[in-house]
Amino acid sequence: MLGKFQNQLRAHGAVDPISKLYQTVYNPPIAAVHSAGNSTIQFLQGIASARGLAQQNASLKNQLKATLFYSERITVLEQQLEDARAMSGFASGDFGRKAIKAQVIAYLPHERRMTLNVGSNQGVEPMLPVVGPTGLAGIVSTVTANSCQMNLIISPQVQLGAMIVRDPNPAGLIKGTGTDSLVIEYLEAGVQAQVGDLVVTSGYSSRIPRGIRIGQVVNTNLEAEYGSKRVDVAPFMQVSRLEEVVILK
Amino acid sequence: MRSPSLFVWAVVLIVIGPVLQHGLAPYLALFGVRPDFLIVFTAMLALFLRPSSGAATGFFFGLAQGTLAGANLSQYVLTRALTGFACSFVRNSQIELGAPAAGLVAAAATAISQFLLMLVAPPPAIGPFIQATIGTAIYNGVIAMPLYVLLRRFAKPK
Repeated sequence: MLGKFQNQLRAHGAVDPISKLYQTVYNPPIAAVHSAGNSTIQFLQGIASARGLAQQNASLKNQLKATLFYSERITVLEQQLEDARAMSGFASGDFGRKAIKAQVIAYLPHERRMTLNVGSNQGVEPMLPVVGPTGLAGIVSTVTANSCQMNLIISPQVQLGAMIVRDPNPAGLIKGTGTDSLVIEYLEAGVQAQVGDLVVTSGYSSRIPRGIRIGQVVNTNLEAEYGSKRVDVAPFMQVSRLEEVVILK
Repeated sequence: MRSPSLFVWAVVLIVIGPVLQHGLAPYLALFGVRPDFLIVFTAMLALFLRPSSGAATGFFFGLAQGTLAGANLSQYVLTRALTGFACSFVRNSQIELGAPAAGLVAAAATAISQFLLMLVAPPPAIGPFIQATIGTAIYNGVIAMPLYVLLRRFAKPK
């Protein structure tokens, strides 16, 4: 009888009142239990897969380490490639001089000096300019058969002709200060120099050609008392990038 | 139903049974076999009831099962009421059951109930239906044991 009643209502597209009542009463708590059940299952699955997740986490950390390592290595290699490109310009005779390739084999930071792996057998002579990827690195000081010493341009022992690139080009002697900067002292107080100006070799020497990049003006001081002008220059040379250099002869 | 506490237990189980069956049972499936709380409750309550009360209890559980499953109510009501009616005869036999025996009663009640359902509403594939019934009967037997102990401890008429 119940089934017939139900079927009659279904035939008219309706639900019997008993089913409707039960469904109204029970569906909310059933949904709540479902939700709790799902949460519990997920929680238990989380516990069950904790070891696997920990291993995966450790593996990802290792991969991250490796990636960082290779990323750093790539940066270094890119730098070296850039340096090699810059050096190839010197090697191809940009300054009309013979280029002798050399490698730095020792560095004495307190003396602002480096030892190169080429000497008189390769044609190296004292007072020749040594060029790195970013510009003038130093001047050859002493030479042996198969090695030589190079004073970095920041060494107080180095003094060479330089000029500021502007019109007119004020030329003078640039000196190392023993710190990380260089200085040009002009005897004329009216010399035009501005912060940011490029400083290159003047070429007023038989050994050092004109136009090798040295650095950039960072400060100018008018010394009115002496009627002179002091220009501070930050060198382009970076010791950390001096692995391979070129001696211009 | 002479014991008030048994009446309360019956009402509680009739109320929460459908929630457990439709909300919790899917999460308790083992090897694809789900328990059938409504048959377990019918059988275990019937062990403490007279046949008429056992049939009434089965009627309510069948009603709940049929309505929530969207099935034909008369088939579920009839089979569950008959199951409750049959189980309550164990009480009349004056045999003092232990938990394992109660488990067997629940398993048998499941088999009988589903067999009757199969007769009044033949399933499309009898093989899988029988296979599922056997699994559910075993599951129900296990669940019935602690429930029977609880009912005997708290709801049995003095």
